[in-house]
Amino acid sequence: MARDKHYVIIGNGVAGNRAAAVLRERDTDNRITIISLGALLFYNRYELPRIFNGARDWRDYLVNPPAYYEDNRIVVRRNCQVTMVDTQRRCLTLAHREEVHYDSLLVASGGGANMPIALGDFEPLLNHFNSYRTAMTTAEALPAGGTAILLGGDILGIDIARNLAAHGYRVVLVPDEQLFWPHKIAPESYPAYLAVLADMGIEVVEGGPIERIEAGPKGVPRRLLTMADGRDYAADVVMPFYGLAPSLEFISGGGVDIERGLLVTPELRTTDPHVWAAGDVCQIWCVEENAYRFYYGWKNVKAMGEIAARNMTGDHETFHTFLDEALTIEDQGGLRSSFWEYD
Amino acid sequence: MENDADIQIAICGSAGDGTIAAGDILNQAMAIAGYKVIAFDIYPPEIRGFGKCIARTRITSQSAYSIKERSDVLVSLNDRHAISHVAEVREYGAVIYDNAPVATVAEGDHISAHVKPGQLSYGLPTREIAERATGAAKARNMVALGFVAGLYGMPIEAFHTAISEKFKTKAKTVVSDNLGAFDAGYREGAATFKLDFVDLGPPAKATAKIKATVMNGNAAVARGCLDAGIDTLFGYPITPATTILETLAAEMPKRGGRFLQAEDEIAAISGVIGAGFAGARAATPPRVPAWP
Repeated sequence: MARDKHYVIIGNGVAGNRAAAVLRERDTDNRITIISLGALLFYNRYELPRIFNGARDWRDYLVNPPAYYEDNRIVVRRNCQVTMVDTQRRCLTLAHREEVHYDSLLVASGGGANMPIALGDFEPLLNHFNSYRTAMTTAEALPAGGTAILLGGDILGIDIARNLAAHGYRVVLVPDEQLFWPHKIAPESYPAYLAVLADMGIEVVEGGPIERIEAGPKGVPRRLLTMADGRDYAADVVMPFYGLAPSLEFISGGGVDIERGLLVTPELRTTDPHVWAAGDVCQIWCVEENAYRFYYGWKNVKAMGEIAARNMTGDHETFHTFLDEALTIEDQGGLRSSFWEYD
Repeated sequence: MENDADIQIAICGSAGDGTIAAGDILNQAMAIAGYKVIAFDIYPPEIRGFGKCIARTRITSQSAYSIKERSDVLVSLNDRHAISHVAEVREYGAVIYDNAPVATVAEGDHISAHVKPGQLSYGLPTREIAERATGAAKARNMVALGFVAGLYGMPIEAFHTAISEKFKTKAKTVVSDNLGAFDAGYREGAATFKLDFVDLGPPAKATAKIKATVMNGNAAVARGCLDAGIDTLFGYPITPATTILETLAAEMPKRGGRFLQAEDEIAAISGVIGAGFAGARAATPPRVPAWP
């Protein structure tokens, strides 16, 4: 008897889960396995700021109930780190020394926090906000009315900043060139955007690089940030938001082309005929720009997962973004970013 | 009551993994800490290194009279045996396992492949932690037990007492190694971000100064034989019946009774029948697999 075809998806986010759903719709018989480094089923990271509203039960963030996966025969391997992909043998190795074979592989491992090298020494003193666990850790470190310093200021960080400010926290933003990333803001427009941030209650600190971050003496304040010009700021948490770096160490040297992300055609196929990629991990060939580029945001990533699944099952669809990538100042004074939108 | 403690932990391994010993220490420690404990161990018929062992412990603040159908936590000391027990863990319960086995694992043979979507899992390198703490991997059962205790906030002092008591007849290094391995696991558990919904409530408040007794089934059988006033015991010592024989071999002569070690279970039951014909009250504690 022939072995079942095995679709393996590395990544348990929007792209991976949408791909799994579409694969199951189009192929009711064969095996689908999602491999995840995280401990939880797919949850909505965009809703994590609700933690500051007191929503601290991770089950509230699940996109699908546990029964969904059993009903659709989608296996989710959690707490499993992929250490290597062997495209010749079509198998991947997990950190606990198990090999998993695939017929078609979708890499949808997303991106981790991009960190400037200069801040590497201070990593243990930083609070991330890119998972339920880090969000909870941050929320628990931040007392009511406390102070948060946000570094960099990518658009996900701005989302956290406006939520914190709205909940009565003091928010200090130390921007760099990643401010509003991945939006591209013309230099002459910056003052208007900074004014909107100020209206949101966000204090923007400009002027030079960060000298150091320290733990406060005797734990109070918990963190002390010093700028190169000697100004210092006390806070309960310091949170870095410098954009995303693709998570693809496991496939380096695996026989597929990589630039900053996995390089894929508009059909989301890599240079290996059995490997596709979707989401923040891949750079897609853009005919209009004559270059490979990243596309971010829930809706883009979800569309990629869907198209990849269709193409893994025989279609030849191409990806085109439909998101307005401009950061808009609304009439009422707030900001509107398509990268904050999800469905 | 809402805050009553009622959690059940199943530890599953192969004979020789220290499964039953870990369960026994868990039982003793939680009893010392003031909880009610009921436990049920399953031994393999094979000698060391082959069969499956499971130690199930239910920990409550109010009296309980049976093991629950669903466990809250499963600890795997051997995935080959434990995989078939993953289904007994309730939704939002936890599966704890070794995530750094020494050998490569065939596809689907690691327990992480079998954790249900509604369950949570925690992997830790029990073997490596044991080696760092003691210089050998043997005490990885104590690492796993320590992880459970740390994760669920169990009182560490009670475990120290139980471990010291358990190994008091062994060399001092056995006690210190087991304590070291337990503490290393405890630190891992206490530092782990807990995601499951298993909570250990407080023990019941003591209403009177009553010394708690922890008794396993074999001790209860031996006590029953003595209270029933048997005259003669015939037996062939082998797991799981050995401790019944050990207890009665020591106690019966003090009460005027006799113990005769038989060459096998058939000889033992023959002795019981013969004693009965002669008018004596006799018994034998066979191991179950001997009389299928």
